[in-house]
Amino acid sequence: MNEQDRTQLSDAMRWALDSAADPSMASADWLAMDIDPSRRSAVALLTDAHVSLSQLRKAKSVYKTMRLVGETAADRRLGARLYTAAIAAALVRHGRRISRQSDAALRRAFRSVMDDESVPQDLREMADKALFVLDEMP
Amino acid sequence: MPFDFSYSGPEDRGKDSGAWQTDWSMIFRAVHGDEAPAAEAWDQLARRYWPAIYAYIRSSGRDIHQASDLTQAFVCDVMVRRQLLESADPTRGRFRTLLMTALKNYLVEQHRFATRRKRLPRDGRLLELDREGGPALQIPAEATPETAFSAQWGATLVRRVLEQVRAECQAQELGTHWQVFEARVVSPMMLGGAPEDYGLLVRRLGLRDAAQASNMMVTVKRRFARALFEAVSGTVGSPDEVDDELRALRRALERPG
Repeated sequence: MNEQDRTQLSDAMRWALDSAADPSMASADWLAMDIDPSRRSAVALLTDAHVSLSQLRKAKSVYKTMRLVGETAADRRLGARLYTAAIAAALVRHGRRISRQSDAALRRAFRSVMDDESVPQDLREMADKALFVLDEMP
Repeated sequence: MPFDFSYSGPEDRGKDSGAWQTDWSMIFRAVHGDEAPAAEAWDQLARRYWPAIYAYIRSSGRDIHQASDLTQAFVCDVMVRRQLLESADPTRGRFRTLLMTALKNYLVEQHRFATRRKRLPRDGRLLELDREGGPALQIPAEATPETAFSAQWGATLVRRVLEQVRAECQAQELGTHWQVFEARVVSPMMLGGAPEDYGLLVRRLGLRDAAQASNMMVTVKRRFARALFEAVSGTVGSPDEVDDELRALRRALERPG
């Protein structure tokens, strides 16, 4: 087992720490890192100015599934918020809709993210910008 | 191919039948239990800590044969004959620290007298500690014995908890979840290389899509993280020490030098 393998083993200790501190956010972060190992968190992935549309589609998909199959109610609620945040990021960063939901449904979802104080501030701001972009779309 | 957790050969698999017990409960049983359960607990503890003890001794400058003999001798002389376990007390700190201090003193003593003694444990059996292939964790030559011990102990803990979680997944009909976790996390972590591509994994396991597979991986990763936290809890004196212990093991694994 070489140095890289040892470092990967040390990651296991960090997983235990992260999961104990906030299990739902830890799970969301692991899903983000599974999409792009260079990102260290869900927030980092969804708010990065250079995130690709393909990555945002994957993020939307994994958080949609988390919303449905999350182990706890907190997981499912966070999954729903991050699912919405991925749609918002696609609008803000790429000017593209990656959802077939109606404008009205998207507006409600973005507002619910903005009003949820448990959601990280960067994502709430992303939802706010997405609302603006949606309003400006033809 | 499924990852083989035993790093010394298939004959070792399942020998740590106390994998679900905390170290402190096992120590209590070894000291206060009836003869047969106490011997079993002692045996499990010795197996559990053997790789870390060996790593410490190797990093102190001994060759493979000396380290193997000294590991055997330490386990018999100190852990058994000097009743090290009886002096172990959860309120006085981590068992890892107690063991490491005892080991350090033992090596000083051995060096002083320049003798090597082999002793039998109280039930007259010698542990089969000369394992084929030796420890899997390569410790850099510049590592201190203390760091080598901690790094090897961390690696041993991770392996043991992986085995535990695998068994739990199989018992709870989460075998497919485990296979995803193994392909995406365990194999890259333990064997190196890239995780299996989600497209291939979805086809191989008949899953709906990559999102489902990714969430299955996270479900098991969370179980593993929780089980590792609990396993470390069983080696420290109080719940307040768990975070510190996890950070210490992480540092030892990251920078064994």
